[in-house]
Parts: sequence; C-alpha cells; structure tokens
Amino acid sequence: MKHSSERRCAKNVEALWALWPRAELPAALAAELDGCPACREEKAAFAELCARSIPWSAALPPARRARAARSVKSALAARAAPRPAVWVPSLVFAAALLLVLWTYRVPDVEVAPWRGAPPPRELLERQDLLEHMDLLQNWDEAKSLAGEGR
Amino acid sequence: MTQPSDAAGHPSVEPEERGLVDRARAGDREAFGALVDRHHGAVLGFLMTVARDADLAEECAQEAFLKAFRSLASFEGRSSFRTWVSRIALNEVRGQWRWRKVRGLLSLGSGEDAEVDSDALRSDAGTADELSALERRLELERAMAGLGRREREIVALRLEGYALHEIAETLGVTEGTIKSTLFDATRKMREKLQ
Repeated sequence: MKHSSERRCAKNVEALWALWPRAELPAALAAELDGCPACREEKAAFAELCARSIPWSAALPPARRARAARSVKSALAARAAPRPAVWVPSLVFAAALLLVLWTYRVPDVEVAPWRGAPPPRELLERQDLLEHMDLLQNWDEAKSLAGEGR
Repeated sequence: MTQPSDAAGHPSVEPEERGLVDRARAGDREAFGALVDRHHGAVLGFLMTVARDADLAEECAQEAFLKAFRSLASFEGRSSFRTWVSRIALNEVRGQWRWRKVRGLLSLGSGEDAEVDSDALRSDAGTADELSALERRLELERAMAGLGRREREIVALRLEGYALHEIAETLGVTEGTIKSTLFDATRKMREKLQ
C-alpha cells in the first residue's frame, strides 16, 4: 500500500517539475500534491523556483532587445537582397542597349526593287516614261515599254 | 485544408503565422519582419542562456533569422517557425564555438564556459525596474553554473516558454528525456539558490 503511494508521489513530483517554470498547476495535480506532506514541500520549492525563473526575453533591458531586433531587420534589408553592386549596373546596361537597338532599328518598310542601283540613263531621258513613274518599280515592264517605243 | 502537424499531432504552425510565412516566402520583407518581432526575443533569450555571451547571442540570432529568410522555401511547416529558427540558431552557436576552437581566438577555450558580461548589460538598463529584473536573471544564471550543455539547452528553451514538444523538435530528443533532464537540472539550480 505504502509502495503504491510512493510511486504515485514520485509520478506527481515528476509531473510537477515538467511544468517548470509555469507556476500554475492543474487543479487535480495541486490537490494530489497537497494530500502528502513531502509532496507539499516539493510544491513549495517548485513555486519558489518558478518565482525566481525569469527568462532573458523579460530580463534583457528593452533598449538592448529593441536594438538587436532592429539590427536583424536592417541586416535583412542589406544582406538578404541581391547585391545592388551587381544588378543595378546590369539593369542600366540592359536599358541602354535596348534604347540603342530601338533607335537604330532597321525600318520595317518594303524596299523598292530598283533601290540600290541607279536606273539606266536612257530610261530617265524618256519623258513619256517619267509620266509613268509608278511603272519604274518594275524593270521588266519598263524595259518592254521602252522596247515598244512608247 | 488540414493544418500540418508533427508526429504527435501537435498543431505545428498556427494559421496567422502560416500566412506570414507564406507572404515572407514570396519575398514580403514586412511579413518576415513581423515574424522577427514575434520570435526574436525568445530566440535571443534562448541563445543568451546557451552562449552566456550577449554579443555572440545577438550575432547568432541575427544570422539565424537571415538564414531562415533565405531558406524559407525549405521550411515545410512540420514544426513551428520558432522551433525551426531556434534549431538554426543553435547550430549557429555551435558553429561559432567550433570556429573559435579552431582559430584558438580565446585563450580560455571556445566560449562554452563563458560568463555573461553583466556590467555591459547593467549599463543598458534604463530604470530601477529593468535593473532589478536583470539582477534577478543574473542570480538565476549563477544558479545554472553547474549545468551540463544539454541541461542548459533544455532549461534555456523551457525558460523562454517553449512547450516540451517544441524542445523535443529543436534538440531532437524525446519528451521523456526532457522531463528527466528538467527534473535533474531544476534540482541542481535549487541547491545553488539555497
């Protein structure tokens, strides 16, 4: 009988210390601990240690804590980003290249078939042909007209 | 849609936090800033207890959050964001210790046996209440002097309000181990405080 009671006490005490540093105990556990003088002592020791157990997150001076958190954020902004030294000039170069290519782009117009070589002199001297300038776009037709003496 | 949960069925990431994580993953720095605001204090506090060096703790906490931001794509939400960052932060401290050992920068060792620079912290305390809270914490720190590395890590996380399952996820140990370690560690602390 005593043996089982000791076992229960040991179990309760283990459950008690597993809660450290939270001082609030489940009502059932508190009642069981109160029922035994040795367990009551453990409970008092537990309460005393909990009262003295203050985390650094509460004890560190707030100014220092805030400074440390700020430093994480500024390091995040500075170091986690792609380095400006690399991507800013790349972006500027790409924009300049696009501008140059756009400025000197090849015009998208149909090139007249006679472009590049001057028309034969005898054709230019023919006034009647000059009246039909549109026909000059087709050499074969112009030559045939010239052949017909028109 | 079901929420992700860990092996024991504990809800891993609460919906609001999941929203922040999703936004941060898409590159939203404000959302990540909100995550920093939520968890930086606990992560820093945990590291302060483990490292016993405020500067090292701040440096490692900062590095942990930066690494977390860059690795958000690999965060699957099976554990809480705080647990995930804490694991990164702990690896950071351990890495720093190893690095210091290799470089032999500290004549007294790697820093694992360092003591908190209480004077530097006192100079940051602005009011009598702040100083009183700091002194109480320093007293507890002295009571923790005899704890082993694992005991200190568990006590550090517990002090900052981590649940047993969060500690288990952060350190990769069972909840049973955590309970028995807490039992032994608190006993040692009580003896020192008497």
